[in-house]
Amino acid sequence: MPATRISRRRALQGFGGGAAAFGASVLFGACGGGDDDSGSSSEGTPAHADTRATAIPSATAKTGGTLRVALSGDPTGLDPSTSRGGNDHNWLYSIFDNLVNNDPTFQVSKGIAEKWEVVDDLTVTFTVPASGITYHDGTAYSAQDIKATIDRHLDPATKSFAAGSLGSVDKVIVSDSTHVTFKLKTITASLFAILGDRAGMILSPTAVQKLGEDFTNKPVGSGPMKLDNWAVGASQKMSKFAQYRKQGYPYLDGIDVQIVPNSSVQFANLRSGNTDLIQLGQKDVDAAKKDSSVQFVQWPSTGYTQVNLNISQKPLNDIRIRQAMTYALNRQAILDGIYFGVGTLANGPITQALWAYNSNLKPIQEDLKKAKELVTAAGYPNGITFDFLITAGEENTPLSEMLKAQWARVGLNVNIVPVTATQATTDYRDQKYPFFLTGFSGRADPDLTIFDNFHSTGAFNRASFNKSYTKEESQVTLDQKIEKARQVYDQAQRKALYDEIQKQIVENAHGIFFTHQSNLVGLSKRVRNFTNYGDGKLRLHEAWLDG
Amino acid sequence: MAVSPSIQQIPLRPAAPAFPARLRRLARRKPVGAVAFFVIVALALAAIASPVLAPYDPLEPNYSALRQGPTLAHPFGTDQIGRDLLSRIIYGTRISFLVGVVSVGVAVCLGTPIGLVAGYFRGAVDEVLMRVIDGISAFPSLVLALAIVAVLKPSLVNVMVAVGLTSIPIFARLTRSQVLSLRERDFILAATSTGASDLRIMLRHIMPNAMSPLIVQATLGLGIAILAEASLGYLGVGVQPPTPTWGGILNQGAPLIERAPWLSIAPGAAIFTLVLSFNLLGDALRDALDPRQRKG
Amino acid sequence: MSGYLVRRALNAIPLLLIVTMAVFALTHLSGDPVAAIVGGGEVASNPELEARIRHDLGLDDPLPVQYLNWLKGVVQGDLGRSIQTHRPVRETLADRLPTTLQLALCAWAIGILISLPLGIIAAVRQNTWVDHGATVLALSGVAVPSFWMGLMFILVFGVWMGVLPPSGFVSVTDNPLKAAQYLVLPAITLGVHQTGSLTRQMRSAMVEVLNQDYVRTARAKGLVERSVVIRHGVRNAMLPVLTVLGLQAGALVGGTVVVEQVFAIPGMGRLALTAVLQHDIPVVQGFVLVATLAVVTANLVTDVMYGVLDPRIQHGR
Repeated sequence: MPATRISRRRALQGFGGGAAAFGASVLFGACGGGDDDSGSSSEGTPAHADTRATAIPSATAKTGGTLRVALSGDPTGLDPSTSRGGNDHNWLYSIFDNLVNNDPTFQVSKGIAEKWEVVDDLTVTFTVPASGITYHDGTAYSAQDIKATIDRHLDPATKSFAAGSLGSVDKVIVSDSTHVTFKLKTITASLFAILGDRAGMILSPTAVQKLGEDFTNKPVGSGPMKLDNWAVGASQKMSKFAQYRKQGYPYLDGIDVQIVPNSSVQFANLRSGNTDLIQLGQKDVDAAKKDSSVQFVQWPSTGYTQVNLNISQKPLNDIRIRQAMTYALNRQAILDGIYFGVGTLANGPITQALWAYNSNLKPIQEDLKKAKELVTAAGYPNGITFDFLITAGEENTPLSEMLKAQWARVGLNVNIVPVTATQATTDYRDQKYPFFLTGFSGRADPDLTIFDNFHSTGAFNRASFNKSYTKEESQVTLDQKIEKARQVYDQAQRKALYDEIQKQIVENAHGIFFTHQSNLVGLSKRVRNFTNYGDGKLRLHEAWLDG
Repeated sequence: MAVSPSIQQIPLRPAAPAFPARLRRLARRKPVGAVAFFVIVALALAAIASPVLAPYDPLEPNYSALRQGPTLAHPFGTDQIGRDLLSRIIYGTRISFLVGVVSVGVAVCLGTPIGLVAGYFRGAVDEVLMRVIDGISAFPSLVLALAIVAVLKPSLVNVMVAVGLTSIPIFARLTRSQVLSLRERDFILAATSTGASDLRIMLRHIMPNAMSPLIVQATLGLGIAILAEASLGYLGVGVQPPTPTWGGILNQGAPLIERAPWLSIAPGAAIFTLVLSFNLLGDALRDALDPRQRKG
Repeated sequence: MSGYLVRRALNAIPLLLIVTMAVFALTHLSGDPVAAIVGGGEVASNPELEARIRHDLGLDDPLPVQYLNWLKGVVQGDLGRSIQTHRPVRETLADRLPTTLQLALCAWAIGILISLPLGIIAAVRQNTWVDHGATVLALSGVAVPSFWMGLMFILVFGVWMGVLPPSGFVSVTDNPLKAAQYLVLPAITLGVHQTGSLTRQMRSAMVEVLNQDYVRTARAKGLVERSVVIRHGVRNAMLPVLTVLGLQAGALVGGTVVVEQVFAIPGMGRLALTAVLQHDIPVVQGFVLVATLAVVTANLVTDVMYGVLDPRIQHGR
């Protein structure tokens, strides 16, 4: 039995950016016979060695069966407004229909809306069906519900976490039964990416009214799957929604998610045939590749590993210390030691999963001499000691130890403070520590990654919480560039702007990046039509089962 | 008039043979306890002599030797960032003893006085103190330790304090029960009737006679503390990295059990050996110090 | 006696107040519950949103006010809602308690099944190598970190041999056979931790009984050794052992934290751990109420048993 043969297709979408070449839907040939229907398959293996295959015509899809999935934790909730976890989408995308969707390469694609038009800089109109959509509670949809959903996010009383991403939306107007218009306060290039995320998930207004605070545990949408049962910490059972707006879809009868925190156990369940789909840990990649009873999928993630810097704080307000930190690192050792060689060396905050990736930027090379000089130039010839906040964990603890050892070589002595996730968030927000070891999962639009992390008012940039912060010159120019890039709709133009922004972030060390991650999924042999989206979130409802 | 010199001659403790002789007898009757004792002494020596014994710097990564299995150069293998595991285990012995001794010290210093006062004065004092003790023990000790470390900030000292605080109830209850039964004994009543102060009676007359079970419990407590340090690390908060602790090494190794089993076998075995030794020693001491069993 | 019981039961009220107040303060001191809500997320938060959440949860009130508000709810039978999951705390506790009770009971039973025979054998063959061996065996169980033992069990029986499910939980009421398969590994992991003190207690009680005059008499009368041990020894030695068993039952709920975490069992221990890590105050408080009541009950039962078994101890002075 040969290892799964996976053909690949590069679905170049409608714009010039060469970096858009990643992502497509996947087929795993039943007996290694996956037809490559694109004719443009590439043998060149990028550093990520991403494995992908082709879409299969849905006519041949088999219906029926229950997809058994093992995931490591519960969603934080299933109300798209008050839930907030990066894994919530693995359920949300099956339960809710979006106004528009992000396709695997982050281009906008159809959702409830069939067409969309940027009428002018501040007006975007969506063409939607007048009827024909039913919610899981049996109530009927109307175009008003789209407005109701957005208005609910924007109402402060909802306490929606998606409200921030809709900040530039002035109002939503239902022009007639088939047209919904978004009026914007500023040009919002990322609007489609935002509506393809939790903000654009359309809720049953009746259920929202009726369930109140319980909606998050008993979500009601119009998606292909409905939630039947949620046993916290144990399982979520979803079943096919028979009145789904697309005839004959979904193919699955149900999705059965088991919560299995231990990744070794997940992998064991996959290998023994008790589970159909898991997200693999890096440590299990070698074994998964060798196991012929498992389909292994790897593709570039938008996520990266980094230390999050508060550059308003001593000593990181000195650019030389930050640069010294970045030159002192042996990134290859980090990749090999902590991530088992899975992923690539980071050259900045945007990964090759996204069209805005700057392929001309090289990962910073270890240069101890230069780092030492920078520390001395900053006024610390005998070295400097400061605190390093981390969330203790399987990956973070050894990583922090490696970083400490590497920095110590150039006189940067850090004192590791390992705390729980909540404590770390609190302390970092409250300006108690200058930097914090944390990953970032990346976003569907470069603005969502760049602005929140690197603009001086960004939500993840804790310098923005420091009242006595005076911006350094590099931050001032960076802010201007970031603001400009988010107000351009043309992707080619934006790409050029983001290339420059990434360069500045890396050269002036607004962040220190180690690796770009890979999305890793293991499937049982019977799973078909698993699609690898660049954001790594699972669209479980798309799969079907052969056998 | 009843106060006569003879009262002073009532032995405060049951007569006991000289200490070395008792030890020899104990070792003969409790060979397992004797072996445990020697294991503990050997490990304690290793703790003291770690800089001499450890072949490598326990903190120094070696990127050309990541996750290597046992070899001649690295008899216990290397960890995820290329550090020599044997050296880390040897240095870890220090931390384990330190965690054990300090946290038991904290528990004894706080728990014993509480139990002593509660048992001696009884009544309202007893009620209040013991309700507080009940309160501490109502919460799972590990979760409590976790919360305490979170408040105090994680560090070696605070982990020891937290583990110590969660062990207070055992010592308080044990002391109290000893005091309750000793209080009614003749020699205490006699001391009371001589007009000795409460403090003097508690410290001079009651405590010495209540020591045996406390010593036994303290020995067992050393093992419990070492386990607690390891478990705290498992739950997410322990001693600051990169300090080599057995619990910390085990926690880093455990997720890699299939890929690199040596990373968890060595620290697991080390924890097991030392904790079991403390348990066996405590057990032997209990029998030896228990007058009812001495004749056996 | 009944007066004593009523008084002890009333004593539980100040205890519950002290404990919930202390835990309330501790949970607040160790971190910000709102940070636990927004920090666990990938979504961008902002100070206004955080202020709003804080206000709506009543977290901007002074701590004593917050505590009293919670207390007022409790008196009316309302334990509030989890600030993380929005689920009613009472419902959550009711979901989780049976799970933990099943696990704890099985572990308790396993502890007894291992300890009593070991203790009896050790006593009968006192100071022989059988005795020493039994001691080492009993104390070994306590010397292994339970998360480590759990992981090894998962690996050996669940992953390599594949004979038992590696993790998860099925309730006895749903499917007794499956439940047993899921429970056996966690129950052993938890149960062996009971063996140390229980075996030693059994052994010393037996040693004492076997040295009593009536046992010597029975032996002198020519009774077979086995029936001496069983008829006279075990029966009389059980009394002090029972009290230890009672105390251990109370402590078992606390012991489930690590085991539930390792085996991914959705019970009280895992609930408590998550709630503490997330500063989910209503859930922590609800858990504390239940755990304290369990300990109070176990202590009470044990004390009463002491009184019953040993008339020299009088209650209520």
